[in-house]
Amino acid sequence: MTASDQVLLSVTMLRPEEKLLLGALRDEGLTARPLLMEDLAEIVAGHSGPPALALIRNLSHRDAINVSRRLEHAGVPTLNRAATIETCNDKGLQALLFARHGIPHPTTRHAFSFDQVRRTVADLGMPAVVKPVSGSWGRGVSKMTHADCVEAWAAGRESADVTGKQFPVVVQEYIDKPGHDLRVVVVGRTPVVAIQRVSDDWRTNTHLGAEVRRVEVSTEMEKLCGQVVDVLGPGFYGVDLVEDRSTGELLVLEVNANPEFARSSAQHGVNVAGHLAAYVAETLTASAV
Amino acid sequence: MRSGRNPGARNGVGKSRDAIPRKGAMIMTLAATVASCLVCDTEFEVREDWEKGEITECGACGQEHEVVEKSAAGVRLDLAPEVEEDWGE
Ligand SMILES: Nc1ncnc2c1ncn2[C@@H]1O[C@H](COP(=O)(O)OP(=O)(O)O)[C@@H](O)[C@H]1O
Ligand SMILES: [Mg+2]
Ligand SMILES: [Zn+2]
Repeated sequence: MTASDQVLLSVTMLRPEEKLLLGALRDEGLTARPLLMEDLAEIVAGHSGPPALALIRNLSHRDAINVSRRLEHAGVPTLNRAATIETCNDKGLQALLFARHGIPHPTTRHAFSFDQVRRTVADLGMPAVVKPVSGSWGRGVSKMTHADCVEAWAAGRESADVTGKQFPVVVQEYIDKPGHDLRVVVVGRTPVVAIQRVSDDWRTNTHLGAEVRRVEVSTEMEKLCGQVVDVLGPGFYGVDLVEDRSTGELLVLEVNANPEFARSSAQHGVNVAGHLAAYVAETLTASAV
Repeated sequence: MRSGRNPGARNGVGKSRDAIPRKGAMIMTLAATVASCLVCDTEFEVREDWEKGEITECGACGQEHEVVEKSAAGVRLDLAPEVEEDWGE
């Protein structure tokens, strides 16, 4: 038997962000509680009757995949779904998915060795961007403007990863953007807020100090987010878009399956936790009938 | 990268929060109103609405502490895990 109002919030730790979410879920009349890794054993063993849904908010990508997979196999639906989390945690897989479905994305290649990185960067032309397939907060994202950069990148990486276990990486066309990128937060199928992340750094992650400026969700943004939801399924996403200054075209840079919102919500004023909690409540009501 | 509490625990699923208090962890009854920072000893407030897994920061040195256990008897705090390489949105 499923307890139809029981929602688990799977976390690595309960940051102010997740605390907000917990409060918002409870405000929707749901019974919500945090799920830490060690609690998972009991849940999947089914002793307490399966919860209706688990929201996956683990900071750790590995944990997020582990928890969502195990819950799904135990019959507990997760938001986002395990397969979606897996795709979103890999920029190479995202690139393949976007290409297959005609979603505009910078030209992106996989590289499985240092030599392949050198050749691919030369092939795409500089500047080019090299990124770990899994990463966040701008970590390890580097811009190659000269052959020397590639050598410096390779040397640094080689000393940290002698056996080359960290491959593949992606090599990506550099997009000359107008000093900011865009983050659209999607709840279910709906873009609930869009912000520009403005920075002097070419990497516009808020973790690296980018400032947040709210903008209207344009029809173009809506269309791109719609395409993303069509292939990934409804969920909770931070869809990152970049504008190519030379063409004015918007491209999908990446989709984050665990978007952070506490700091930006305070600035743009949209209650992201509230939207998400309302969506969860709605989904549960719909599946109960 | 390392994790503050579990050096060497690289597999997320294996992360454990030992029931046996180790050096550094701190146990308090719910009646306690202040706890002192495990790093700099500055006191901070023990809040009743703390939940298991919650992170609280020492106002003086910034060290994050995690509520690793909460029961009717009290709460247990430990150093919060440090940022690992696969963390982030
Ligand atoms: N191909 C690119 N062209 C221009 N800017 C980029 C490109 N790739 C990344 N960036 C910048 O770097 C930031 C971080 O890159 P991203 O791929 O989103 O990695 P992460 O997952 O670490 O956020 C982006 O928000 C964007 O500002
Ligand atoms: Mg990003
Ligand atoms: Zn302190």
